[in-house]
Amino acid sequence: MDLKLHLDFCFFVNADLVVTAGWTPRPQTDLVLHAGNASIPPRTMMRFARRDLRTMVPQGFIAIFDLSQEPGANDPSEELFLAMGRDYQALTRDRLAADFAKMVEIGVDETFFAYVRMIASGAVPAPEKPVSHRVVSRILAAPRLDKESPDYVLSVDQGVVGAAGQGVCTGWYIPSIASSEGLSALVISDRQLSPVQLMPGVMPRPDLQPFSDRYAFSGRDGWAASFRLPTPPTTPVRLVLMLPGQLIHSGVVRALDVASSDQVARVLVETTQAVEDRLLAARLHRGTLPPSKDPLPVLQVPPQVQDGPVLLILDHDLTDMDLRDVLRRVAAVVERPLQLHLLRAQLTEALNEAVAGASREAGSPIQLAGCSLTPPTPQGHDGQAIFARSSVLFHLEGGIATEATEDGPTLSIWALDPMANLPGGADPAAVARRFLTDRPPFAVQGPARVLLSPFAHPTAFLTPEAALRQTAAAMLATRDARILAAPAQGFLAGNRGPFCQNLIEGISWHDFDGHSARLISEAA
Amino acid sequence: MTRIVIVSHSHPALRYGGGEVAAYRQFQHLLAQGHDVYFVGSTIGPEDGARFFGPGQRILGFSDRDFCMRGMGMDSFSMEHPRLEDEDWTLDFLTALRGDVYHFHHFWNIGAGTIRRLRGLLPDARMICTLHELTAICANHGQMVKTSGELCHAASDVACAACMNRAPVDFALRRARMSEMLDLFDVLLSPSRFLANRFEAWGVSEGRIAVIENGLDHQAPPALLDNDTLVTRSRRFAFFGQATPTKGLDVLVRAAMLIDKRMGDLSAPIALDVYGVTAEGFAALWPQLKAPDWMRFRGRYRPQDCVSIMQGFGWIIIPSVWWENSPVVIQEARAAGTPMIASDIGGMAEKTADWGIQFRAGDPDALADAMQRVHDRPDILAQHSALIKEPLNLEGFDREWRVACGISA
Repeated sequence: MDLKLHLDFCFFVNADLVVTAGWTPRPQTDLVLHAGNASIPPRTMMRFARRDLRTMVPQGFIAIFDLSQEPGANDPSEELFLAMGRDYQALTRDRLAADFAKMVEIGVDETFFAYVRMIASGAVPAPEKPVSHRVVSRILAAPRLDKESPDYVLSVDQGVVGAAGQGVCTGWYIPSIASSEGLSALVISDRQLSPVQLMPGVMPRPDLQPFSDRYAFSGRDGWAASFRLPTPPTTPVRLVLMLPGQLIHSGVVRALDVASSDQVARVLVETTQAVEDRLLAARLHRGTLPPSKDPLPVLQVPPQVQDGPVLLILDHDLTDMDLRDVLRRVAAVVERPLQLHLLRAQLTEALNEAVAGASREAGSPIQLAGCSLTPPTPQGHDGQAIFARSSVLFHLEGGIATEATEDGPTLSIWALDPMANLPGGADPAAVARRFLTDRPPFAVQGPARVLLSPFAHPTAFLTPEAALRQTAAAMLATRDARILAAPAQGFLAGNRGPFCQNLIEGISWHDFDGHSARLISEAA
Repeated sequence: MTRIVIVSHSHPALRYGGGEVAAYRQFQHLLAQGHDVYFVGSTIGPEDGARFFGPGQRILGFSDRDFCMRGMGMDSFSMEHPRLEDEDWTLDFLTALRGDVYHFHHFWNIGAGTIRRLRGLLPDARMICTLHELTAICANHGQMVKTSGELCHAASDVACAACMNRAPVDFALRRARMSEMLDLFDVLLSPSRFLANRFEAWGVSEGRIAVIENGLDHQAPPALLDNDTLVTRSRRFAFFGQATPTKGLDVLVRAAMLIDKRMGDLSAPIALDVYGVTAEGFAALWPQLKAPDWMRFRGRYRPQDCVSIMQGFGWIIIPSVWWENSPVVIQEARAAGTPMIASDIGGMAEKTADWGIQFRAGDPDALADAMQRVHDRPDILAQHSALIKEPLNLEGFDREWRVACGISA
């Protein structure tokens, strides 16, 4: 019997990770990668049956080696050998460079889809262009699985993706025989692959009891998944659900519904509430968020135009007609032309009249520069800017300075921190800490370029306030911002406008953003 | 000559409320005295506008000095024109009158924005406002009666939010807007001390509001009544007003029903006439109440006939369940020389303090007791009638008004 090691493909997926794929009849492979003096066991390995070997015995393998595990192993001058006992195969540099494309092109289905599963599990990173295009093409060209067969039954109940690339999917899956191997999934967007945080068996589904006569019903057969694409999608997004042992098919492919950010958030909240394990629920939420905090804005701002218009980015949380009074107050304090960006989905008649009315009374012009739920991008904004909720500006009597300081911090933050007025609550460090933890309402003022920097790309948040809080907090940490505890006594928050809505009963958009911010912060 | 512009939220040619009537009487008096005076009223809302105005028409001119603007409808919570073009037009019209004095009787249908801008455009004009009710303080029709029906003793953002089912910040903003607007007036007037006290408790500086009763021209006081007439009248009671729930007509009917049950206790017949309300109008509001036979609904009456009608009765009853300010009916009763039985709250208690009989507001038993105590008692009627002082006439009002507002004759 031939018990040798057969190496079909070997390639780098990055400077440290080497993928090897082949077959051997040996049940125990004991594969080792030798790099110079280092001997490295596989970090991840998968065995599977291959049709071309005409046996159901899992003789195929794919193994991932991490050269960074051993010092010096990733030295490019070192030769690499794959060993199984005394059987050695040299991994030549030309193969390491060329085999990736070959595997995608001519590798047997089982090897290819085993590799795809490793992307899904995060064992290897998703390939970059142009290989990713070929991988995607092969996945999409492969035969797909039906939602139901004698071996399993699977459903995708919900699948939504937002404009920022955040997505949530739910469904259920019951195999005919209980297996330790679970579902895995990827999403395809813009001919790129992205891994999905898929959690099988996390949601109770007693309603699936009728399937128990044909499948291994457990009562907890609901799965949930979340993801965030590296860039906002420009083409339809597809979910590929890969079933255990089904390596000659791509899996079940489902096009996801494009939804607004709040709709995605609502699905996420409903799903996480159904997940009993809070750790898993948090992980699911985390899966929709960017991997890290947004980078700090570039602080080299051009010289400020001292008497130019001030950009007011306003979360108007009062009745529409009350906008007039808020603008009047701000205009009276700023004493400079105001350019208003109203954070509303649409300009109602009452809002339009309110802007016009305030403009009639103000000493300087008030111009509506924009009306959308997202602030403008930084380009073209060289003056000063203010962001606040209307109720905050009303409470502060519009009294926030707009002078750019010569050498002072870039941003000024007025936090309505009720604890700051208590005998032991005024410590500036505590005010800064509570700004992030207690998330009090605030107004912030500074160069428009800095203030708008979080909005150059889609943010992780539903509300611009949360994105600005994160930026402001980061700048506080680097002393590029100052925080002032504004008197909070008597503050009455508004409850109107898009950002005061509840996603579901008891959880508002601001609550959701607070949770997202905590998850991002914990991950950092 | 000083040009005076009297501005009212309504026009008595179209609607006969206390505030607009007081404003119009002031206008007529000044006009009769040969002053340079204009009157600007308004229709209340779009319904009236469609009835009285043609397409594109914004003003009705009753004379070259007497105008009624087409009211386009104003939310009394905001006290602002919903459409800026209406504010612009109102402002243009008022400015075009080139007044030296602008006396506002109310600001509904005028708008806070109009007043702010008028103040900005005419910084040297004398701007006066008469507070006819509590609208600046209370968004529930300016009555300081809670939506649950209880009397309200003080406004607060949170309590008002609970009452009106709105966010507290809405009330903070409204308070700020109203307060800012009142600050713009050179003079604030109130027809009652009660109302002035409420505004001072709300935040208007003490002493800033001058109290001047509304003027009412009237005949010389009636001659002393002989005993037979006193006996007859002491058995006759009357109500003058509308069937709105806050006027307390239901309290009066309940009191009448109680008296009817005790009819055997009465020493003589009793009569109660209701003016301003028909039996049908009353039944529509309170179908479950059955007025006794001796209570008659007389329907509408001409305002100019009111005093002479009142002189046929012994007692005028004002059972309002809201505070009232300075009800015209009290001045009219004074002009008629007829004493009153009044709710013991607000402007009613203040204005009938020396010559009326008060009962616990909203309490039919207390009202029934009060009516029975004076029924068929000519001595009590004579005693109270003698205590009535004539109401301020328009000449007296004008005199006090000029002093309070610093306007020379």
